[in-house]
Amino acid sequence: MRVRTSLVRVWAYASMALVLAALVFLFGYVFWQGKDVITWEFLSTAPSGSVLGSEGGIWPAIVGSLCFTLTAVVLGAIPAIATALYLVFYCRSRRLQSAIHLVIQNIAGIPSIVLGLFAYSLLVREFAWGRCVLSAGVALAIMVLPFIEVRAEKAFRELPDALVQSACALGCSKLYTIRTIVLPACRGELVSGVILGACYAMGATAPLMFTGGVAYASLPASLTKPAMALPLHLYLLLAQGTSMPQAYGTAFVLMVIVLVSNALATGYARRRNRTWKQP
Amino acid sequence: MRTIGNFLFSNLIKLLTLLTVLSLAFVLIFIVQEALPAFSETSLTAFLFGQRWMPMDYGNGVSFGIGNFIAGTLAVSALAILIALLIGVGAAVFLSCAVSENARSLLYPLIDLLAGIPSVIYGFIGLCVLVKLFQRLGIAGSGHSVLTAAILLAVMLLPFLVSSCSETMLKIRRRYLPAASALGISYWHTVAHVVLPLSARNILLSVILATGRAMGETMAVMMVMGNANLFPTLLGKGETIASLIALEMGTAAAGSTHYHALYAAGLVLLVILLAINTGIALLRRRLLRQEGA
Amino acid sequence: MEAAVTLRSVSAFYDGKPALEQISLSFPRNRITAVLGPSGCGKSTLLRAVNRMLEEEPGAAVQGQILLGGNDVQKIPVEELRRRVGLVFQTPTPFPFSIYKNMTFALRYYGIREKVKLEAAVREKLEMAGLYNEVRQELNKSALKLSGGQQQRLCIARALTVEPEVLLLDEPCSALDVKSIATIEAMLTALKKRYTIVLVTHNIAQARRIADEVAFFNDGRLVETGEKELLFDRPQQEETRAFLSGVYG
Repeated sequence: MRVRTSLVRVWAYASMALVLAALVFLFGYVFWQGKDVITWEFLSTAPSGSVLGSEGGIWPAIVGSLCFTLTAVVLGAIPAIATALYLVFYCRSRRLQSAIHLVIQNIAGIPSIVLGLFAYSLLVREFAWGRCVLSAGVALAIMVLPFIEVRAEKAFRELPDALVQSACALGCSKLYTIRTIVLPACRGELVSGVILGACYAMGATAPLMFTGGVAYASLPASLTKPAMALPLHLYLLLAQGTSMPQAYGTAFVLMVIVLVSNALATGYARRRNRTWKQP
Repeated sequence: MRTIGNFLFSNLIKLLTLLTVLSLAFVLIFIVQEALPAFSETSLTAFLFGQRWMPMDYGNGVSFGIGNFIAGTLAVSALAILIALLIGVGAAVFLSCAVSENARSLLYPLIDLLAGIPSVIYGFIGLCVLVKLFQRLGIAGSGHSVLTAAILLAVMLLPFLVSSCSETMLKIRRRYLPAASALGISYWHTVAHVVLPLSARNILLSVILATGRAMGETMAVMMVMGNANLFPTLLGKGETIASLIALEMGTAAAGSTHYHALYAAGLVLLVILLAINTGIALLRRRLLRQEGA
Repeated sequence: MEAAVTLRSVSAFYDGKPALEQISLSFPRNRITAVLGPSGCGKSTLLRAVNRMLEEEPGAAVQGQILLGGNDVQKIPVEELRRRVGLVFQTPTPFPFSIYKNMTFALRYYGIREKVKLEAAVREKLEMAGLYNEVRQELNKSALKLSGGQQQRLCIARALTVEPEVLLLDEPCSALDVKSIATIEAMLTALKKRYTIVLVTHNIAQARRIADEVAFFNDGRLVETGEKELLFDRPQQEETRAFLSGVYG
């Protein structure tokens, strides 16, 4: 009996150590290999060279990624937060609630590559938008929608019932209560959920491979033009064996964005919680 | 004014919720619509179980069988989840039972951070490190193999498994630990003999969900699995449905049978995932009801 | 005696299971009615049925008729109803704002913006709740920094800002210390000159101290009701007698 107990203990510690080691290794490796590639020039110029991408920088990919992400977050977060509000504050039928939960879980389960297929057939071809930021943005939006919804709903549900009910008991409408109590109290979680959602969208490659991401484009001028994206650029550099240093540099930038947005999300949620949730 | 504002707002909320629900319907409808024409060319059984994928006619005719890709998807996902399970549940035990509240609130964001790494980065590091390592060790020839992909995929599944398992374990620990300590039973004995067994059902649900995610994963797997239409073996190359779509969509002429067959492959993947997610949602609801009763 | 609120065979259900069965009862104007009974007997459900918050909960249903000043509450716009019927919860629920902002929260909603009016209302209601002298220097302090008893008095004062006719209190003292309870009880006794008060409690002594009327509930049923002295001294039902003598509850 004692053996099993200590085995479990050793196993738990070893596993956690492995997980942390993997984390440190992933970041450490990319940062170490990429540190010499990162120069101001790399960040601020377009890819160039005899094989495009073997020289020059990744500026259009950075801007492109921002455009994809922004489109996705705007299109995804609004219905996500609205759905969470509906489920928590408006929907009175349990059956409808669980039906919507089922739908959301299933949206979360759609493989990102299938979202790419969907956007390609409906937006790129059927609506004839062509390959563009908007087409890919919609695919990414559907991808981040459940991600943000789940976090928003959790935040709303964790608010003490009595807080919202006190406002209602004073005769205030739901809209007023949501605007003055619910949203400010949950702002930390909402903002951090949206930031993490943005980070998730920014790292996705599969949904934009044939819907709006291209190997080379100048700075995106409008939503109806295709654009470069960091993860796709990284993939293409590797798949075509163009240039390892350039790939390390691109990975470095991606990882910095991931690290910074996670730190921002966590820090913001903590600070908000301190001022709102504790006496 | 106030009533109009409320009216508009509540209807806007409902409209957006409807939009959310409809997005699933749209995805389903359009994938099905583009997939169906493929079956005028090939029968469903030939498509699902056929091992020959020959979208272009090089003299021997075309054929569309995704049997190997399905097998590849299942194999790599199953293998990955086995590896991830071993480490993920251990780490979940650590997070839920071995550390203080403060340490936990420091470690959780790190797990989230691991989840935030884009899959193309995993693929990249897999290519630079794992594949090279396998090559040097002389396993799996070029280093690209089902096992390579599974190990990589396992790391990607870890954060998901860890956070979902530790959440249930934490609940169970909080519920039963005081009673156990009151009986004078040692802490880790309780963890090993109460918390773990009681979490088993929930761990199983998380595992199935994670398997679903693994099957839909595209980039990382595609970059290290070798992408050859072979029946998957541990050290051999293989290809998943997601990789097949990602690799060939660019070259398939829109409207061709090849194009429709890729949508059909996507549909197969989608159907598997919808089945898993719906099944789990229903199971979870039943579990909750049992626990409530 | 004029009734402020009248219930006519009101029943309530959660997911089809009855929580209140055929309750007929009235709360007389400018009196304190204590709704007494062991926990889980449907007392809180009753309050939520009156201001129609119960029917908004998923799975809950209400039958029967509830009158506020002679009008069916179903025919009163819900916001107006809730303005006229204040509700204070068991645990203090100050909004995470300053004291001042808590007090003006509902007033602003009803479109009152003039500083003079707001300040006058804040002062008047805080005085009614016996809180003004304690917090007059620090109205901009976060309400969360107040003690539990102060928070609860703030919540009562906040409920008064919208000039309700009826004040429903759901075990307002169960989470408080003895001193705060005494302050709140004194305050409620003073408030009944202007308001009709319904106090849900499982505390027999509290009902004995401040109630005028008592309605005894058990298991979702109204067992008996009457003036305090009558009910406490000569309970008609065996159930009531048992509860009062401490057999259960």
